[in-house]
Amino acid sequence: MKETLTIMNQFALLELKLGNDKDESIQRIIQRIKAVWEGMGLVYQLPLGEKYTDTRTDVMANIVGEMDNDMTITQIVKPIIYQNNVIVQQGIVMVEAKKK
Amino acid sequence: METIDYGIDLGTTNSLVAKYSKGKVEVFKNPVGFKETLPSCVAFRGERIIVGDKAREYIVKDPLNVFSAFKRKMGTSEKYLIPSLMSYYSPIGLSAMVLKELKNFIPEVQKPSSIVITIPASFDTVQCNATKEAGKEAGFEEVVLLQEPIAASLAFFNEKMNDAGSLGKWLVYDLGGGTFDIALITIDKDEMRVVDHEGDNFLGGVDLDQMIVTQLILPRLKEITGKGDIDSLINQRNGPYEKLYYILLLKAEEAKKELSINETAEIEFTFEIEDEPAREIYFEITRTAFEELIAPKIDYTLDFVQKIFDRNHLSSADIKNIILIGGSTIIPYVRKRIGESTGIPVNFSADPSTAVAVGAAYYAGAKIKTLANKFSEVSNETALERDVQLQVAYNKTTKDMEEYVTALFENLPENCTYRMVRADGGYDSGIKNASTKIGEFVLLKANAVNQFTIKVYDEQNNELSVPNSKIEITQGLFSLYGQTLPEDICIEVDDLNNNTTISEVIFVRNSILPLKKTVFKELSRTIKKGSTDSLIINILEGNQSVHPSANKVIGVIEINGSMLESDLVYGSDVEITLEISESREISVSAVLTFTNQTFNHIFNPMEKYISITKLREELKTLRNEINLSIEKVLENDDYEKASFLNELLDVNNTLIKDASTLRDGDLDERKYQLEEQKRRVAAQFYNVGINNSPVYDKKEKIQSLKLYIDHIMTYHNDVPETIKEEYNIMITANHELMKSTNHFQLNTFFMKLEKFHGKMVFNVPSLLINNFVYMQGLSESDFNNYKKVKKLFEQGEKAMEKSNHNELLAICKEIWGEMKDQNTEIEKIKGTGLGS
Repeated sequence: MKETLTIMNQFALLELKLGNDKDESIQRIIQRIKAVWEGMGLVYQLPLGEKYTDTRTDVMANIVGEMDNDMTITQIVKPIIYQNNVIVQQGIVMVEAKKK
Repeated sequence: METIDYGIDLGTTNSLVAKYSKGKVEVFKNPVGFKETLPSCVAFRGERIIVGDKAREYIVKDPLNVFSAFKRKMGTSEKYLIPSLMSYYSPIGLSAMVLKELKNFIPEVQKPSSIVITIPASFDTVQCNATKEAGKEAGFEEVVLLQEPIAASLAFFNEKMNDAGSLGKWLVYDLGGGTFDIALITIDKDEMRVVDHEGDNFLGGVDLDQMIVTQLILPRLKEITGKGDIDSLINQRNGPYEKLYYILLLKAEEAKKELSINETAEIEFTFEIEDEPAREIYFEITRTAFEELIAPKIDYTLDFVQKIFDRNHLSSADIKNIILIGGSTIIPYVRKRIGESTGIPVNFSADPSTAVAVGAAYYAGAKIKTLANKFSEVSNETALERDVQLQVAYNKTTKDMEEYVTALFENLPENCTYRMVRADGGYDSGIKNASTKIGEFVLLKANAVNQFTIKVYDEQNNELSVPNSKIEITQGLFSLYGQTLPEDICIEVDDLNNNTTISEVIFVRNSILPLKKTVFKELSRTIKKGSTDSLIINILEGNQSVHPSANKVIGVIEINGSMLESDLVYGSDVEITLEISESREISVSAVLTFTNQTFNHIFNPMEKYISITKLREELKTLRNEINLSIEKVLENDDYEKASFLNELLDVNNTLIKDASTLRDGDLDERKYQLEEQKRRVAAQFYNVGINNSPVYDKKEKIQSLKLYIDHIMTYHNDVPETIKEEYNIMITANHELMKSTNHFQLNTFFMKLEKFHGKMVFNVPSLLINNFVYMQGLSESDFNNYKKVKKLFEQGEKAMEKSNHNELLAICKEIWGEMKDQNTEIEKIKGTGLGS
């Protein structure tokens, strides 16, 4: 299991690095690999840009800069991984106050 | 007499809880995040109390409201001011919160009233009493204390306390996340005792991580980026490199772990600062550099060992062993350096991170309770008198990512607390004071049914029984009424190993419309361009655990050879996207990645699509399955069932005859009638007894193969340890799978078991001999070339006489190759073309 999580972590970071303007065939390969994991009950989630509050226990946050009531996830070090709809790995993220 | 069984390692940095049962110890995991360790850290965020990982997040940013390392202040008069509450907490109160949180790691049915809690060897009477008080405040009625080095030794000795070889003097070296301790213990026939101890409260793994950042990473980063100010600004709060600092600390921790296994570790990250383009940074650090870096720190810990030797007039020769515990002792250099420097054998057989908790649990397993069941009796009596009532108001469905939940309590005892948690571990409200009316904004997981529990605790943190405390909120895009799927939606895929097809679920019953999903399948046979052969994508509605023929067909895409631009090769991918709208319109898109062709089809649920080829195929499969079942029930002398199955077989044979006269383009309704009749026969067949369903059948096969392997493991004494270990890992990892109704998953597991069984025959000599003898007992007709097999039997006999396992294995392989396929008589199905 540990090895599978390591592969998923690296793959999730690869997806992040490829960004949104991926070639259609690359996108298809990514979805293909994710579908295999999904068949095993494993799903990863990249919460980039999502709102952060201290009740979010799906991620472990490193708070950068001043704290605020309106915090956002600005960087992902590790994705959130679910196995059969239960979190088996909390994400590791950087959190910053929204720029006003 | 009842024993305590539960032990807690109440650490300065991290805490753990474990239980002893039937000779084994289980370390409990946090239901949120599934880690065994809980950071001993408490944060006060407004009216909310957070304990553990979440609290630690705020150490740097909100230091006035976050408390850690309070264990060092146990037994002092120090009080911590909580600015957000404008009140004071003692170290006892904060420790009690950590203990209460650890209590939540233990499953609800087992909450203990007695506990063993570990304390440092240096704790005096006042500090011991303070720890006991924290235990009582956390709701434990009986608290027994145990010194940490003793606990670690117990974990090491496991249950070998009477082992004569262990008698004498030992050292317990504990280098944890944030603290270092060394203790000298003596073990004689009756007693295990801490004689002396030393330590540094500010040395641990965290310090090593920081050294990696400042002394190994930053110099390289300066070289690469040319930024000379990094050293001075890196850990400046709100400074330009603050984000980078946190990332580097995480990278340093990863590299430290990596260097325990490999000679080098990669440091890779994105260097990003405001107003400058991002740069990808990559370099390696070596184990040698890391070891040189930490060497002075490890030598510093060895000075403490010397101090203990000097005080107690001892030399290395007087010490039997050094037991290493604490996460940082995993580092190979630490183990090597301590062993070489002291000349004492180093022992690290116990898990260094959990040893203290495990030892505490072993001790608790032998410690008799003085409060036999008092707690549970009292709580049962009082529970009836003061059952808490709860009414909850919330929107059951929403498009928002958070939802407000209000709750009204009745009969709520004084000083109760509550917390709301999401079942998947993604939300925790933290601990809050409960009043008659409470309200919470809960966070939701997108496009999912979010289950929450409202937990209520009394003053001693015992969870109260509260009816209606579980709620469900569905997040997703749906209409006002949130239409759900009445039945599973599946596609039919081939299971050629078992000469049948199965229903693979795409959307499960009760999912909320609209739905969309893409699945990838591999072709199970080659379909030639221009041939009459076809790939069939059959979309079914019904029950995923029954045979496809018993489900309703709601759409079929048939791609035949004439539609292909080139041959569609076996093993190539088919990407199938299924979409169901709120009005139940089904769109299917199939992309053949090999030929780069796309086929789209929209099915209206008002129409029916029947493939004549498919219908004929299904009737044939059904005939095979009924025949097999008749044989099976007759073996069990169940004539009544056999007679019923024979009647079904007659009806099915008539349908096969009728279906053979159907032609494409027929305008009458015969094909619809035949399809409906086939479905009824299939439903009746699969309802004869669940024993006939593919899922049940597969479970039965798994169970009997597992029992057989278990038998081998127990009664064959030549099974290698590696094989046993592999089997245990496989069974533990797939334990939950046996409850599954997913044929695909069960089949995969069955194949794994079969493969493993094959491996056993290869690796267990006695099993190979059994197999050889079994084959000798088979008849001539079971082999293709019996003359050859007979010779091989003779050679095998000789190999057995010589006990030559490898030769016998080679001979057996040849004999297996000559065995006839048992299934050749069964007519092979063609299938859909989609592999499972």
